[in-house]
Amino acid sequence: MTVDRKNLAVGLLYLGIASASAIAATGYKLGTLQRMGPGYFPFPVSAGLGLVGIAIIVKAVRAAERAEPAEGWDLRPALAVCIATALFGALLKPAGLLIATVVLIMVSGLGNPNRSWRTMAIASAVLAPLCWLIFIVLLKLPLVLLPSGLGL
Amino acid sequence: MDLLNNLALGLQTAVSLQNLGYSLIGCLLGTLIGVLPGLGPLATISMLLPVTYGLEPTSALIMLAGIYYGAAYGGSTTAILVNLPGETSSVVTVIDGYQMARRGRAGVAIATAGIGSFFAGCVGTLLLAIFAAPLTSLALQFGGAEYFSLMVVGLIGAVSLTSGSTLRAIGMVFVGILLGIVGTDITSGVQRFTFDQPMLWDGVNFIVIAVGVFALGEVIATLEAKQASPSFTNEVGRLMPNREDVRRMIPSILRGTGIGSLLGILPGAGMSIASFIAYSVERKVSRHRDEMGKGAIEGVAAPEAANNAAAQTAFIPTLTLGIPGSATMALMLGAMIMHNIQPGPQVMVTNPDLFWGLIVSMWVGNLILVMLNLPLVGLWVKLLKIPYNALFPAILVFSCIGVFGSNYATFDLYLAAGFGFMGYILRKLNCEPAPMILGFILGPMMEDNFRRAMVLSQGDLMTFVESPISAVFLAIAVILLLLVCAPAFRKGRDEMVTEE
Repeated sequence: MTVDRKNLAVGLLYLGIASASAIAATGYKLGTLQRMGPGYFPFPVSAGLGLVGIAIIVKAVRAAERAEPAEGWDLRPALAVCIATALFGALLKPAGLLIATVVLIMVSGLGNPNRSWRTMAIASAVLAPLCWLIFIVLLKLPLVLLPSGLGL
Repeated sequence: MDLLNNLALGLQTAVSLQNLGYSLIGCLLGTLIGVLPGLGPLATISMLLPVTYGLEPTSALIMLAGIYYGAAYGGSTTAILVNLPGETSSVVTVIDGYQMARRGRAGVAIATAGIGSFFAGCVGTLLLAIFAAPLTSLALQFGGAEYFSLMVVGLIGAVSLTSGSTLRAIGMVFVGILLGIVGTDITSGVQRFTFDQPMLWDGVNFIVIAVGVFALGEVIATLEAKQASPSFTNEVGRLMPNREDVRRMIPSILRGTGIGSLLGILPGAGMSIASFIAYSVERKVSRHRDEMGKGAIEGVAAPEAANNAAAQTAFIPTLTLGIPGSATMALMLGAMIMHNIQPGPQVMVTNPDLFWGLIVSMWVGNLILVMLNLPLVGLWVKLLKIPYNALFPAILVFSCIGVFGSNYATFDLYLAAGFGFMGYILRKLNCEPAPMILGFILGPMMEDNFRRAMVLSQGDLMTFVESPISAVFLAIAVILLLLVCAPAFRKGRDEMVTEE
């Protein structure tokens, strides 16, 4: 038997989130309808999401012949962009805007199938000073350009 | 003559040299980013929000409104020149706009879009000014039950008109509400869904979700699609429409404005549906309907007028009731909250200069756009030539600094990375993320109002039906829901959305 895999995935995802939040919400006091506790509202919402998930799963199993074509998954761009964002966060305070920006551009570039080191170098050379000008000089965000250890 | 007095107060605020400057910068930035292919208004606004952090609330909102219109405007320019809609609301503009461009009439098409949008914007602003006061006084009578029911209508409206699967959209709304629960419960002080992370006690910052899901998500999706630079029309041609063009566009602009103004007010309907319906109406009633799809000026004028009118009137529920009608409006609402303004009926009373200043500045913004977009068309065309390789690092850097700048928290960037990945998965599974943002903004308000209604009625659920206003809202919600389930409506909607 074939199933509509994409719909099945969506349904399972919804059902998973719903179960997780319902279980997490059992730790909070329920209260009464008149005096709703912190655990009251999450339940109907989780239940609603769970029902939608089940409905999608049922539809997926039934309507197999109208399945949307499955596409290939290429995780490389997603991983590169997300890791680059996290690295930018980790570097921004200790290492300063300049290093964080260059690392962000270079690491995210690893996920670009048409990457060219020249473009990335130019982008870094243009963007780092531009961001310094806009965000540090003009908008006065509390950021440093260079590592604070340099005493600048 | 309250209306005139109010507009005069607004004019005073909006045309101060400083605010005029912010409006201009907002329009310019919005167009600049909005024109880039593949960046819709949601991504554009979330990316540009940080630019307004340092401003005082009135100026910040005026600038944001400029960004909002600029983004919508830039989107239609790209749609016409590249045959690539940057947002769902310009999907239909592409059809006749690109055909016009291929015949060397790109300039006329862009000018028509500009003129249509400007006229629609004027009407929309006037409607907003007229309806703001009565709606506000109505809203002041709302209690918890009425607000709760109104939000239900908004969410169901948003879900029933999405282009994809309705069930998936409902699921996304629930996911958004759950995300909105994260943080400290305001009445009991209990931390919910915070996983013992002190950084989550104040809840998830909405800019983190918006940037993560929309800006990062779009970058990832574009990179994965390995798009080469799209082909586009180099020749813009003459800008000024001739007399025949003007004669043909006027009735279409009028029809589009009417349809757009009406649909914009409805919660959840929004700009895309307005332009789709305006286009279908043109195909039925226009005198030149046989030319539609082959480069008819009506096919550009009507949808562009409709989506701009809707963009304008969508501010009516957002500003007067504090209830966003679309994901973009939810973003604007979140921005207001970030600037310590709680949108709702009180704004007009407590901050009249902000409220009326914003309304007048919308009109000013529309004027600036016409004067900006048409002469600068050459510049926008050049922007389209920037390869994505050089573009996406800039999008990422601005997004990341924006996320950090909202709270100066490193943790927010880790969260944004997570939401970026989530946005990618959702796109892969064809789950439209826009309803999620709406749920995220409305969720906490719904809980709060539900709780208030329950305290007042001593736990009696009948209060939602016994209050006449609330009962009407719930009836509308039920009718909408039945319509969505009715096969005839679904078929009509799918045809409308997919027809080309």
